[in-house]
Order: sequence, then C-alpha cells, then structure tokens
Amino acid sequence: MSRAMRGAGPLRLVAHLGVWVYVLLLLVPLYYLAISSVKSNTAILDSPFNPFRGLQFDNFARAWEGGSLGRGLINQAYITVAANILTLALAVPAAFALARTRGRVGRIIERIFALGFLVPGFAALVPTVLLAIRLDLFHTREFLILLLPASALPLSVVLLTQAMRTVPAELEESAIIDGAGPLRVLVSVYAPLTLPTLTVVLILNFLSFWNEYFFALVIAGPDPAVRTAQVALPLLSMANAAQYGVLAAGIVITLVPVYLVYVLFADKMEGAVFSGALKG
Amino acid sequence: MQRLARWSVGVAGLLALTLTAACGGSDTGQAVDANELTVQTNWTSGGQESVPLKAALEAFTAETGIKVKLLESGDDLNQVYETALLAKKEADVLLVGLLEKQLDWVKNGAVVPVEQYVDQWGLTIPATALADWKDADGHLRAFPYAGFTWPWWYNKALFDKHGVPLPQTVDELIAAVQKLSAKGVGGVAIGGNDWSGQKIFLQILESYLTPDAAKEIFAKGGLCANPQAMKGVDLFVKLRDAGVFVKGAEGLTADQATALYMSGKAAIAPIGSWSYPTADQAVVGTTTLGGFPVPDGGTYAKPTAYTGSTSAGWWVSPNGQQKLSSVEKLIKFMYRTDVLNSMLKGGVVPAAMDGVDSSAVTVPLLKQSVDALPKAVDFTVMPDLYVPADVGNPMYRATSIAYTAGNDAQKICTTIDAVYQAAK
Repeated sequence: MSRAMRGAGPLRLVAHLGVWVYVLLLLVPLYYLAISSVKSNTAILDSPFNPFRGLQFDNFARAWEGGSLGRGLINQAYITVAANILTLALAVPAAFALARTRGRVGRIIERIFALGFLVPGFAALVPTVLLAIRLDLFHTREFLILLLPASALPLSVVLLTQAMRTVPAELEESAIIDGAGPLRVLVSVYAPLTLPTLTVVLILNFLSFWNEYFFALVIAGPDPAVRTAQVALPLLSMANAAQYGVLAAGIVITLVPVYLVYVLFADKMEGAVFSGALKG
Repeated sequence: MQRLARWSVGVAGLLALTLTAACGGSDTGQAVDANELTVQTNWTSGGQESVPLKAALEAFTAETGIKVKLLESGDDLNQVYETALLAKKEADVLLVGLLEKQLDWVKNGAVVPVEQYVDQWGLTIPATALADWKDADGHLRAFPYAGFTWPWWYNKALFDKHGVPLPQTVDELIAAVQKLSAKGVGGVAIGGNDWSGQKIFLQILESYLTPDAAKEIFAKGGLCANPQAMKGVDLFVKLRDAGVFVKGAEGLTADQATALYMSGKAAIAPIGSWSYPTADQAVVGTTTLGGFPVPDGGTYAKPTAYTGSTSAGWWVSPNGQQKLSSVEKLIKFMYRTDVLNSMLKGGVVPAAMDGVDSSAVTVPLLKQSVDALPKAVDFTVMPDLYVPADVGNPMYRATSIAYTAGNDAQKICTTIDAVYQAAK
C-alpha cells in the first residue's frame, strides 16, 4: 500500500461509506422486488418494505401458470440465443475485416456502422412491421431473430473492431507464413485474443435481446405459441385489476436466466473490463 | 481444422434452422378455416373473468367441434390488434370493452358492424345495452356482453365501531368523515392522480345536472359557462376543503386508494365491480355498497353510482366475417342462459342488469350489487361514452388539480375547459 493511501484515512472512510451507500441503493429495488413477489396486493401498496405483512407464496405458481411463462421463456431463449449467434456470426467477420483494413474505404464502412447508433428503434417500427408482413414473417419469432442483430450490430462491430486492432500484426504474419488462410487467422489468432471483448458483446446483446418487449409484442404478437415471457408479463396485472405480487413473481422468474448467464460469464466480462482499464 | 469445420457447420445449421422455421411461419388467425376461431381478449389469466371464459370456450369446442385459440392482450390490445389487421392476420372475434380507440373501430373499418345479426341470430340483448354500443351512425359496434357497476364502498364495521351512521346526504358525509378522521380513520380514498379520480370528480359534477345536460358537458366541455355544472364544481371544492378525501388524494392512484380501503385505513372508497371477486376477505363481509350521498337540492333523490354495459362486447373482425357461420355459433353459445349464468357465477357482471338471476351468484359483493344496490342508488351518466377519445387522458391530469388544495372552482373549470379547447 502506498504512503499516500495510508495517509488518507478519513478520505478512505468516506469512500467506503460512499461505496456501501451505493451498494444499498442498488439492493433496495432488488429487495423490494423480492419481497413483493411473495406479498398480497394490499400489503405491497400499504406496507411496501415490510417483509412480513400479507405473505402470499402462491404468487409464483399463479405467475407461471397465468402467463404461461414456461413456454414464454423457451420462446424468449430461442430468440435470444439465435439472435446472439447470428449477431456474432455477422459482427466478428465484419470487425476482423475492418480491423485489418488500413484504407479509406474501411474507415468509411466503419463510420457507417457507427451511424447505426443514431437510428432510434421506434423510428424503424413502421417499416419493420411492413417488412415483416411483406416477407410473410409477421407473427413469427424468426423475424425477430433476423431483426434484433440489426440493432445490435453497430455496437458489436465497433467494440470488436477496436479489440481486434490491439492484436499484434506479428502474430498474424506468423500464422500466414505457416500457411493459415484468413478464416484460420480469425479463428486461431484473433478470436482467442479478443475473447474477453467477445464475451462482453455476448452479454450486452443477451441482456438487450432478452429484455426486448415492444417489437416482440407488435411483431411476434400475443399467440402463446410464439409469445415471449416479456410480452406475457404485463398480462399478469391489468390497469383495473392490478396484481403486483403476481407480476413481481413473474419478473423474478424471468430474471433467473439473466442471473445465470451473468454468473457463467462474469469472470470473462470482468477480465475484459479490467484489461481495458489497465491498458488505459 | 476440425474445430473450424464444426463451427462452420454449427452456424450453417443455425441459419438453415432459422430459414426453415421462417418459411413455416406461425399462423395466427390467418387461414380461413371455419373449424377454428381466434378470439382476442383483455380478460387475461391475471384476472378472474378469464376462468369462466376459458371454461365456456372449452365447452363450446366440445359441443361444436370448433376449436378456439384464445389470444390474451393487455392494456395495449388496440395496438396489437390494429397492427395484425394491417397484416390481415387479426383475430376473428374480440372480447373487449368500448372506450378510447375502439369507439372508432367501426368507422375505421377495423371491425364490421353487427346490428343486423342481433335479430337474425335471435340474441336477447336489452335495448339499453344496445343503445350504449351504437355509434353516431346507428351502427352496433359489437354485441354487448359484460358491464360494470361503480358504487361507493362503505366499511360498515368501521362506522359502527366509532358510532357513526352511514351517510345518506352530503352534510352527513362531511360530519361522518370528520368524526372518523378524529379517530384516525381516513375518509374517502380516491386515486386523484388517475382515471379513477377523474370519474369521481365528474360524478360529483353531475350532482346538479340532468342526464342530458351531463352528456352535453362531457361531450363538449364548457363547465365555466354552465351554472349547474359550476354548482357541482363548488360542491367538489367544498367536500375537498372539508377533508372528505383522504390526505394526499391528489397524488394517489386507484390501486393505492383501493389498498387504503382494503387495509381499513379509509372507511369509504368508490371502487368498480371489477374488484368484487378479488376484494380482501377482511372487508368483504363488512362492506355496504352505496353511492355518493345526496347533496342539498341535487338532481337525484338517492345517492348516486355509475353503471354501464361497456366493459366487454363481442366484436367481429373482417377475418371473422369470412367465417361468419362459426362466429354465429360462438356468439349464440355465449348468450345462452346457462353460459351467461356460468359467467355470472364466475364474477362477470352482465351487460345489463335487467332480469338477472342472482341465485347463481357466489361472489358476495356481486350478489349485493345485483340485489340491493339498484334499490339504494340512482345511476348517473357514465362519462366514458361521451368524453371524446382525445380529451380523456389529458383530462386525468386536469382533474387531478381539482384534488389539490388551494385550487378554486374557477381554476378547476378553466383547466378542464382548456383541455376541450385544445382537442378541437
């Protein structure tokens, strides 16, 4: 520990307090969600933070059954996983090509990808719906699988391109001398060295796709055969028949896969963040 | 190289799977198959009405062999239906209420008018309900099916505990609430911040208006220029300033207000019949349903409450018209006495209360609502059928200022009239 840090006792205490307050602020909504999922409506509204009032443990069963969440989660997982794979399948080669390109055309294409950030999702709603109808893919999950990567590609390509630019040119040259083609260079040299960034992109896209609501509602529609769990959740609590406990239970159920994915990939994601920080 | 091959095969497989599935698509109400009907409703599994509805639809399939696919949509049913309509994949039949965008569905061609089928199919629907569902051109928008009552709930146990009689007049209401407040019990719990507060404001506004005058005011505004309407606004201000509404009513939502009543913190609350089946057991036995007490010199002799036949009706879409014989079978089935009784038993309020057999009712508050309420109250004009669609939401915000202390009658009427002016 440096002398400067040892000398900053009171400041350190304040910093620690600040961190703990921040942690508590993050935990409060989670606590509220967790206890609401096992409480009655009246108790949620009347004593929101009291964990012992109006306990109602059948909320989870009612949410599962009422929202057909089992099927909804399968649909949601299908869309999320397929769209994520498709995004990576498109973004990785694109980033690989852009990272290796030194010319003007490459820079222009990279900027065109970055321009994708400027297109708001809602602005694309009407043409997207018309496209789905024209392709006869309206009320299908598959259209979402094709659509979602379009919204995720700009960030994915920009992040991956920057990561791939850090790969030393000597490694690529050695591989080429050993007879590797471009695909082999990508798979054996670039992909392993940019794995942390790939993981970040995968997790960010997973969260974005998993939580997608509006396009899933309008395009996939209300049929339980294709409906995602996110679309089913609001059905658990209506404007004049609010069932906040059941809704909270449903939300908890849909959060479980997100938590599992984070636990699976947390090390790699943190590794990517820290390696970026150290390089900085 | 083997790993590379596996990776390539995996991606190719995924794309093949995606395209195969895409070509197959998922069919929702598109095929003209008379043996299958798609019904879209906002009676979702989260609510009580879906239980008797699902049972009835299963019985219909068992009896006729016609399969019914039930699509549940929430408060955004309008958008989902209208988008599907664009793709010609809309549901054949809808079971949904009459408000907001639905008011113009026949005019916009989103559904087909059904007036000719009432007699043709031999449906017995009370004339009052049919009148509520007709548009300005005389077209019947849908077959009226479910209605509502919107009484004032009085927690009689709380009144008895503190020796306060249930109020019949406005003066008694003020006296009763002041006594209860002194004992730490809130008065009228109301969601002054949303649609529920707007309805109760308008109910009090109606106190000195005839039904026709009320309809005129709801349709066109002009409160400030109407002395009888202003008497209603003055009455509202008098009640608010006397502390009749619970503290902070201007910031409450309908749910929060209902929770105050259900938890015994407030002794009175105007709550709709949609809460009968889900009311907390603790208050079900102690609740007396009534109305807004009679003001001095008011239009109505008895306390007032809302009722309506517009909670839900059966709408026929253009796709449904393609398989009209199946739709006819479904509608006829749903109007059969035994099916109507099963709906009533499940807590669904019928579109019109005329001749309702309450012996089938098992929900206690619904039974009280069917048996005793009509004798205890006069029913006033329900604003939703008359307030223009583009005025409704802005008016929620405008009426919320009425619940805020310090705003006088003139400011309230000016704000509401401004909403009508802006919509013109």
